[in-house]
Amino acid sequence: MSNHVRKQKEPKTIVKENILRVMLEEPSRSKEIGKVRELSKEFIILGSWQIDLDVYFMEVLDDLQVAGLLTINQNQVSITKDGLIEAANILSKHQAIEKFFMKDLDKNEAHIAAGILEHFISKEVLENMNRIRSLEENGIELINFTSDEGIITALIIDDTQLFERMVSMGICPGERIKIIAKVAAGFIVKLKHTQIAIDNSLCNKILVAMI
Amino acid sequence: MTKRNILESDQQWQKDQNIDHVEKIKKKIKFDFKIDRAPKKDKIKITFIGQPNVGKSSLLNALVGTKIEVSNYPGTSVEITQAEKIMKVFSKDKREISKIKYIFIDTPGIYSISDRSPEETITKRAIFSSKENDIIILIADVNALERSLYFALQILESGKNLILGLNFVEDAYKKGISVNITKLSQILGVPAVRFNPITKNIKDLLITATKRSNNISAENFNVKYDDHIERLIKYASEIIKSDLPPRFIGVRLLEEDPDFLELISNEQLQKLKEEKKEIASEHPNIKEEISKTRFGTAAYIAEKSTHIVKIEKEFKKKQPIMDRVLFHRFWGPIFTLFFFLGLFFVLLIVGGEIEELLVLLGDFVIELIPEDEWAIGDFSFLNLLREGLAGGFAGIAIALPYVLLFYLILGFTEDIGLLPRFVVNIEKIFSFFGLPSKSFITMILGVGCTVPAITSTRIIPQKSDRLKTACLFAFIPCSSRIGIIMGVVGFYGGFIIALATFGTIFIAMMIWAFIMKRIMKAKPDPMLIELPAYRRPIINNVFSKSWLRMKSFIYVVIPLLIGGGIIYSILDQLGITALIIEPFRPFMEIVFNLPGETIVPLVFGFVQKDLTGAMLLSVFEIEDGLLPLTNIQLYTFGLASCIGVPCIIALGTMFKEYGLKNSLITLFSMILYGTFISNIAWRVAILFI
Ligand SMILES: Nc1nc2c(ncn2[C@@H]2O[C@H](COP(=O)(O)OP(=O)(O)OP(=O)(O)O)[C@@H](O)[C@H]2O)c(=O)[nH]1
Ligand SMILES: [Mg+2]
Repeated sequence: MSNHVRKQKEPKTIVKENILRVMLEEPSRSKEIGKVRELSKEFIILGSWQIDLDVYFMEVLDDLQVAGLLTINQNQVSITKDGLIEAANILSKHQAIEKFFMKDLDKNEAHIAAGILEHFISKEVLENMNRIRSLEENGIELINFTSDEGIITALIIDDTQLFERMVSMGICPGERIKIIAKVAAGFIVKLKHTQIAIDNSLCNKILVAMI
Repeated sequence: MTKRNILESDQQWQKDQNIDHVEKIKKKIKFDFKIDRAPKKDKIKITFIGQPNVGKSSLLNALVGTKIEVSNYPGTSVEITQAEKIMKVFSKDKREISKIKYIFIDTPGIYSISDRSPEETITKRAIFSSKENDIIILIADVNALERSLYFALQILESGKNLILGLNFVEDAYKKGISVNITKLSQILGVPAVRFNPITKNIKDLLITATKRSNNISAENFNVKYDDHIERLIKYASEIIKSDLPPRFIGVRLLEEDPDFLELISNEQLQKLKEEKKEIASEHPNIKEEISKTRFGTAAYIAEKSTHIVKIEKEFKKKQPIMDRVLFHRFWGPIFTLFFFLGLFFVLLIVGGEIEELLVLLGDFVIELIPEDEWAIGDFSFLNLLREGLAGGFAGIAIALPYVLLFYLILGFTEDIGLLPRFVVNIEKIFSFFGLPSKSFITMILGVGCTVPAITSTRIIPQKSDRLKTACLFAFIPCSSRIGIIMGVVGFYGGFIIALATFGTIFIAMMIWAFIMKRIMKAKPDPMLIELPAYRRPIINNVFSKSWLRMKSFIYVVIPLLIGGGIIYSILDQLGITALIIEPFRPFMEIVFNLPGETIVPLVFGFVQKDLTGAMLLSVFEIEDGLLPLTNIQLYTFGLASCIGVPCIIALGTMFKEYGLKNSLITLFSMILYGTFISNIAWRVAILFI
């Protein structure tokens, strides 16, 4: 995955990545062409693509052979070492995306979403996504936070106006927060260049993660 | 210069866009609180808005001379202040283009247009009542640019004619922040101008505003929200028709602004909710997402338009020593306690010394009045004058030292930036009594005068919190009441008696607060307060602020004192006072253990607290500096005169802020409670002495 700012994927690339995935998931590394075609089709349907696999299949297979990711012997397709690496890459992305969506969607939906997104998202973006997600997962109440500096991951506040007040004071999810002091009433924190005193009861509602 | 009519100057105006400078021609400034709603072309109305403590009031003062109080804590201004000034406008070739009447409006600081407290509602109204041609200058603190930009983006959505005024540019530079104003104004599509109210570098801002008043910009920057949300905004924007931009209405409806929600019917609201439901799986909380996106955009613009420069040495140090003390779990509260104890004793001791000096001065002046030779029977005009002056001097001597000292010390404390830091340290005690931490600042103001203190309760968001605080002003001795306790009770009864009076009032207040906590169950608003940077106080500002605060004392109280003295002397010479005193004598004796005469100072005191002391001295016509009251009676008199709604003006303010019902309830419950406490107190005191 060299260029990470791809805009639009060719149907060919999608077919290609699906074929590689098929080859990785099957235990035997060598398979009949017909079978590969069938399994790839399943994948594509799963990812709900409107792509006619048959149009591209043979052409993509040839491309993959030229790229040295697959070898074709008569009717048998087998995957090379490079191919394995590439396929593992795709799979790991798929799993990462699946994990990312698992929180909000059910397993099946997450799987489908991953099937779609894995072709589009660069590794870097994905890493960021996961970092944010893991930050969100690791966010703990400011009141229990032990480090001096962190990132606000969420504000759990029902009162709309209070929420907006906090955001407009700079207490916004995604912002860095520095703890200056802990006083009896709450915390003295610093956001960018602003110092704010926050009540204990509000500190309970600010989730912060370590950087 | 020939006098042009408005039309001509208007056309000239249109032609001439290269205004070079403006110059003040008239010193006289009209000063009132109304907002003019009909701007003409030879008038430019400029409203200053911005987050708290960014220098809005400082800017107004720099433009028209000191008119409003400026302090280093958020929430100084709680009212709209309007000031006018006529200036000549010149073109580059030094030609006078026209005379323009500028109307400047200072508003209370708000963080964004969602309002939580009354002062914020005031500003919100001021923003939306401004007309097309009116200019809004949003003042931003460059040290926290993203926050001000958050607010600016909201105002831009509302389509107002905006100018961004950048303050604290020099300060920020020392901290390593440098702003690129060209870039900033390019991104936002509105002019960004730096200014400094302290060095009076305000010309550019005024010129930009003057030019801008003619050309309302077409293309403002708009925040781009998520596609689904944008679609919803479009939907919501078509619900109501008004002169505000539809997109703005859409956003406000989605942000659930109560002011906008009340404009749509239930049916429309239901429909909007259904639309929201459709995207609920992806956008479960639209209003939060809007805030977050807006802040993200603001932070992005701030980042793009600033860059880091080398930080000056003195700003590299980590945390001011002062903060290390004030934010210490143990030393913070101790320091706060000692600060206020110190303030208290300075007031008592130094104030007492000044009082004695003033008494001597007063006696000296009154001695100068010759004996009256033309008295008609018992009635003598020179006597009247003497009585009046005596009343005036007594009042001045009793109250002035404490007011003056207190305001000077308060001014320095405020300007350094200490008040919000004290709030942090008293929060625990205040929440124990069910009070919001912000009420502390209003209570400190109350030690000066109850009237502005009641108005300043506007900074407290919850209504129940505000009422609880307002009631406490019945106990917090304003400087006039401190004057009674120190200048009368302490002066004649001794220091210990004065302390006992203060102590009893304090205990009565705590009991009251505790009862209120039990009655009004609502939890106080949690502490969320911005701590401003420490600043070196500007001596000039401290003095002019003290003058502003004491002006009413000089202009209203002193004439009242003299008038009161004269009225009393007339009543006395006509023998009417006896008629008032006698019916109350048994009541005063049974309930307060006080001689009947004391009803007069108590009643006069309700008109103006400073009259109390002066009247007490008048009714007993004291000679040799002796009052015919025992120490316990002095103590009871101190309590009876100091607990309760202090004066008519305070009652009027209470009425204005809280309505007739609440102010009457407060008035009567405080008279009852004050009487009760005084009664218990002297009975207990008698047991001990
Ligand atoms: N050093 C410096 N201090 C400033 C400048 N402008 C304002 N200040 C100080 O900043 C503090 C706040 O100023 P105000 O004018 O009261 O601010 P405001 O915006 O009216 O505040 P609110 O009424 O609370 O909304 C005061 O202590 C001013 O002296 C500036 O350009 N430089
Ligand atoms: Mg102000």
